[in-house]
Amino acid sequence: MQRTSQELMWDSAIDSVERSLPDLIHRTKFGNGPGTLRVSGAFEVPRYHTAADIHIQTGAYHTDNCSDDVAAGAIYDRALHVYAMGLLGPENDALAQLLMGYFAQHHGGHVPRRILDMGCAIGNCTVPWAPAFPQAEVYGIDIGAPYVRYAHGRAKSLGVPVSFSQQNAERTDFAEASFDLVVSHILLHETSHSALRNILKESYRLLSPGGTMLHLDIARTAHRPPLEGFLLEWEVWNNNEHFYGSLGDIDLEKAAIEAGFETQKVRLDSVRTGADGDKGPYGSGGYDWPILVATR
Amino acid sequence: MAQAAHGVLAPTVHDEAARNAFVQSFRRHLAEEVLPGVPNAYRTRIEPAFVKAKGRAPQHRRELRPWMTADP
Repeated sequence: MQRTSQELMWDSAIDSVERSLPDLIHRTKFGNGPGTLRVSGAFEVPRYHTAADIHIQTGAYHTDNCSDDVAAGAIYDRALHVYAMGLLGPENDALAQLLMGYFAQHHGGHVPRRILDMGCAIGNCTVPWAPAFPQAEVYGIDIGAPYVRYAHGRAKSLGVPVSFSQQNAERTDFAEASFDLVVSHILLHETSHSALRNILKESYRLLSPGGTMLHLDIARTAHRPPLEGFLLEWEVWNNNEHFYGSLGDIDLEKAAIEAGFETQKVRLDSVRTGADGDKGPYGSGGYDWPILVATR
Repeated sequence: MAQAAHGVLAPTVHDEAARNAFVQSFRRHLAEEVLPGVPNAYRTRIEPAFVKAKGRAPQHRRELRPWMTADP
């Protein structure tokens, strides 16, 4: 039934997008607003995105079905709100709010000037960083062309300046030490063992001295009772979130240190959403979001 | 909580909005009423059967998985 609800979710989002697609393409391309977009003509989508359609979204993040296509992003915007049962908020940005709150609490003295959001999807968690740090330049990258096109159109319509580009977070074209804050919101579990390590190395390369990376991702599966682990891993088998279970078993602090960060500047922390009495998706109430934190 | 409109959000007609709302309610029903039954099935059927067969409780999600998926 859970799988069926996921299939119904996509079905229910597709119709409105299909009906208005030419208009959506026009508005994302020509709508007025700040920000920029770069989409590469010859981009190699990594195998961990092409081998199976993540979230069972047909064509996943990357498939273009016409020129300047934004359908996948437009469908995701509608579907994400349904998936989260509205719990991500009216702008689907609750995880960015959570991470910004964490940053303010633990790195309040640090005012970033260039912020990079890796795996930004439709920019739902990229956009809030810009008004929070109005003096900063905000960048969002994702492997999905229709997603970053839509993200650009969405941010423009909201009047928020963000520079979006189609890039693989494993190796970007940004200059070394060109960011003082690198973040991601539930990106890592949609990558792979080797990509995770490359993304951490790239985060290190991109950060200027004193800069911080914050990767917020899914619950740890290691050391959990078998039943909880089984329930968390449902998404791997039924929703093509193939790296979800394995990521939870990896020693992320060790991986960050191997990527170049100094041991004493790395920590695995978490922030908690919901109250213990709530009925959550797994009937467990409050939910801990792990954050891999490191400072260069 | 309703989704906030913005300039490129695909507009929905009545039936499309109704389908979205139905799927959202369906997911909430699964999360709140159906999924909490899984731990119950584990305690009352799966764990006892596992213990009977192996003489110990399951220790890892991967050895538990075939037992959980075999239970209707």
